[in-house]
Amino acid sequence: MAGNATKGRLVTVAVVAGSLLWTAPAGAQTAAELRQMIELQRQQIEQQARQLELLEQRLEELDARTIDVEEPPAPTVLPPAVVAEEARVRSGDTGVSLAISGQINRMVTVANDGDDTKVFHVDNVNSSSRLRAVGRAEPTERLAVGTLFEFEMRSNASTEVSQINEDTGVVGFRSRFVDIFFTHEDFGRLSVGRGSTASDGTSEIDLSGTSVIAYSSISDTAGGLLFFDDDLDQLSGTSIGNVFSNFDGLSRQNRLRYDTPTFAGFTASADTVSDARWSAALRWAGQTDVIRAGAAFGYSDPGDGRDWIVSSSASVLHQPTGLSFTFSAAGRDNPGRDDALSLYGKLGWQRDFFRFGRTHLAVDLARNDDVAVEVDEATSIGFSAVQNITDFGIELFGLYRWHELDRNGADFDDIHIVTLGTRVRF
Amino acid sequence: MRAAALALTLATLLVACAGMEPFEPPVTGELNPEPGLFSGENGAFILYRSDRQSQPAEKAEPERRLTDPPPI
Repeated sequence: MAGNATKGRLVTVAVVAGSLLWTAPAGAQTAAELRQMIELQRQQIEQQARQLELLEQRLEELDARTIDVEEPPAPTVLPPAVVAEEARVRSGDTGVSLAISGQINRMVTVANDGDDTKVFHVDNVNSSSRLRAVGRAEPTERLAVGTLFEFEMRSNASTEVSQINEDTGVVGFRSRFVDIFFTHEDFGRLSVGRGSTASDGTSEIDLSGTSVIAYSSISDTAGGLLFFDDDLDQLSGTSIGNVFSNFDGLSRQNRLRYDTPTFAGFTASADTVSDARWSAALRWAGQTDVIRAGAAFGYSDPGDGRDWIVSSSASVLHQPTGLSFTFSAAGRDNPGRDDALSLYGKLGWQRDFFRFGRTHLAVDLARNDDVAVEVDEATSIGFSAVQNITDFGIELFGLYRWHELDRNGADFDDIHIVTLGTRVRF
Repeated sequence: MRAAALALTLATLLVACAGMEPFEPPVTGELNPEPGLFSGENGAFILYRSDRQSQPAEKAEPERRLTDPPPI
């Protein structure tokens, strides 16, 4: 048994020794090659080390020098994502697009009615919070077809809150535009649906840059506030919105509207509106290096027992100084009594005090006669300021406004408001 | 006389206005084309329809088998 084990071990040793003898020449050859390779690598490393030393010396020399020439601006390089997107649009653009935009416009208003002071958190109806989608297609080079959806959500609208209703609760979406339009470069534009009538905006041309908080429709800021009657020692039923109006034509309605192409800055418009109403308007806008100006005139048949509304406005901006002047005059037929009148003037000044956006300042005066009641005289003066943060689509604004109402047989206290707010476009 | 004065005034206005470049004044109370906080310079998120996306994808050529006859 032991002899067998010894024999086994001898066989194993013999096999291993045989194997070593068999592979020894090849192993000796590989080791020589490896030594040669190692030698080559060592030489390369030494050469690279010398090059590295030379480069370090060169760098030290460059650092020691004073570079007194202005470095050239870096070339404009678009991020790869933008380049890819532009390439995609250019290669495949069919002239069909859908643009989605919107804004939120909120403010805090402190109001004193002569008897009490209250704070209101409101949506700014001067330009309410809203969402818009504009679709546009160009079947031919000169013809465009489009759709316009726009909805507003006025949570606690500035025209609806009052001393007796400080929170109007949750509100739903309200349609502003549900409109289809066809625009031809030679033949003008045809619009059908709910949208601006021809006369809409004809009382509101304003280049002061403060219209987000102050323009001819001054009742948009706090129209629901009630005048306090000292004679009765209680709030009256008359609100700011009852006695101030800019009579801006027929506003937005369900209509069929046509606009001519623009000629020398002039555009004429006309429409037919539901409930047998209609309106027509003429607009003009032009500019030079010095002056920028716009004007509009509208005539409307408002129906509902009234014969007419006349609306007009004009605004001029002197660009070198930033001074602007805005004027609006409008009137409305009142069956059986004197016609109502609206006059509005504004002096504005805009200047780039800050790099991030323009500052707009303005003072305005509004006067309304015979709007709610015969011989009513309503007067208002306002001071407004708007600061743009242009790149971010943000406006910060503030306003002080004084409202006065003279009415026979009543003794209304003045209403003072101070408001601060912001509009963010997104 | 009044009609002539009115016509002359209107003609003067028209000539004066014709010498100015037209521009689009901002519409009070509306969303004018200005930058947006999220949408950037465009002021709107713009979606484009492209021909490439609207066309059906091209059919891939079927893989030939060794037993198939050679293409003519």
